[in-house]
Amino acid sequence: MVLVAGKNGDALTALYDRYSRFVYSISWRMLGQKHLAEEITLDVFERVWFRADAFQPEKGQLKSWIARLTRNLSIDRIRHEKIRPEMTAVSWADWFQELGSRHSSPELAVTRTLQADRVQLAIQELPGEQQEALAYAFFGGYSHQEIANLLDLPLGTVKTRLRLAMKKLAFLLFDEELG
Amino acid sequence: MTEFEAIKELLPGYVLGTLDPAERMRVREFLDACRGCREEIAHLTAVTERILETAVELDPAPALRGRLQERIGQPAPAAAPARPKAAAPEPAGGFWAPLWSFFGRPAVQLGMAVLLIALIAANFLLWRAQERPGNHAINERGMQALAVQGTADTPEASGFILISADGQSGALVADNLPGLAPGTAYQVWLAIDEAGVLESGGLFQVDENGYGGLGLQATRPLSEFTRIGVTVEPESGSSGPTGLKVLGRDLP
Repeated sequence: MVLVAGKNGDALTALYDRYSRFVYSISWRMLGQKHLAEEITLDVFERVWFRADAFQPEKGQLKSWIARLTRNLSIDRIRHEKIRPEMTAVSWADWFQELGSRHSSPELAVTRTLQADRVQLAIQELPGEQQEALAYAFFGGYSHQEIANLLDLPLGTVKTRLRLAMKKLAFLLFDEELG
Repeated sequence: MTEFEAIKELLPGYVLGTLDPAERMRVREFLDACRGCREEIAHLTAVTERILETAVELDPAPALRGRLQERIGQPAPAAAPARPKAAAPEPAGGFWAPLWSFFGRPAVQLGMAVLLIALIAANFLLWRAQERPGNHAINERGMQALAVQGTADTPEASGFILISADGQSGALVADNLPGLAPGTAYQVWLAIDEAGVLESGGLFQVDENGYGGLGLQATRPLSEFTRIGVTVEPESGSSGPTGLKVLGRDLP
């Protein structure tokens, strides 16, 4: 990233070769459209190029930063283009659906599969209404109020469901008891 | 409800990006004075990242690489390197660091470590090009690597199935499989003949050398299955084998 911040094109190309499939996959899953996923992929690496100094290694790994960036830009696009779940139909089942993915090695394929299994099991342990609210928030970028309107629920109920869902996931995935 | 309690209620929405601008500003202003809130945000952020990391990896169009260079005003790069046959280098922290963070619980860590060590061992066995099929004990815990042979249609293909000592989980690594047509994938099938059970163990692709693999997915312990096979199927998978069988064997 130091090289990218110094505007070294080869460094950005190397970064692209390493993470473009990851970025494309997240955006494709969230947006459900190939051309939009490609646009987001370009947006992410353009942002990395021009804002490399925004990455703070002490706050986490580069891959995590890129993942957050990808989700945020995807949600911005969903809001801007007014893409809504009835169009992208993103659900937890969609997210975890296997599509004969290509991994750079069987070792990574194994780790990815097992990691996904664990996350999927954790999601499945959430009550259905929490899964639903979390899917709207996570994939759709809906606000609390929008989710409340969509599900015809009081605003406080939506906040509670999201909080309980995230707390339980933190416990199931990291053994973290959040207050 | 105190301000602290109200802010805590908003933290998941802050991380998920579901707060309205006023709520977001309210949380942001509170964070400087609330170390516990910042720690909770870090944990919640880790949850979202963990979910994002499970995205099934798909290939973007090759032309996208050139379009990026155009956008940033850099000269077009050389073609992307061929996908490596061994594990690709990982970002900061190396291959093992994210692996250990994936599986935080000690029991899971142990099982994963054994599985990954076995997978590497299986690659070594593949490299050694064993002359005859058989079962190979990988370690003292009784983990097994079972050689899998190609079929009459794919005599050059070979591979290993790795089954954990408790029989609960495993992986498949294969080599010299035929290249796949666009829109297709290899699908693993697990069967219990006497019970009439047949289920998918997952989908995978191979590189230009026909090398690939996956962690096997099954609804019951792998040790209960009596047969494994691999066929060519549509990339979204089939409910039963329909295409060319490329690998297979009976399970002990």
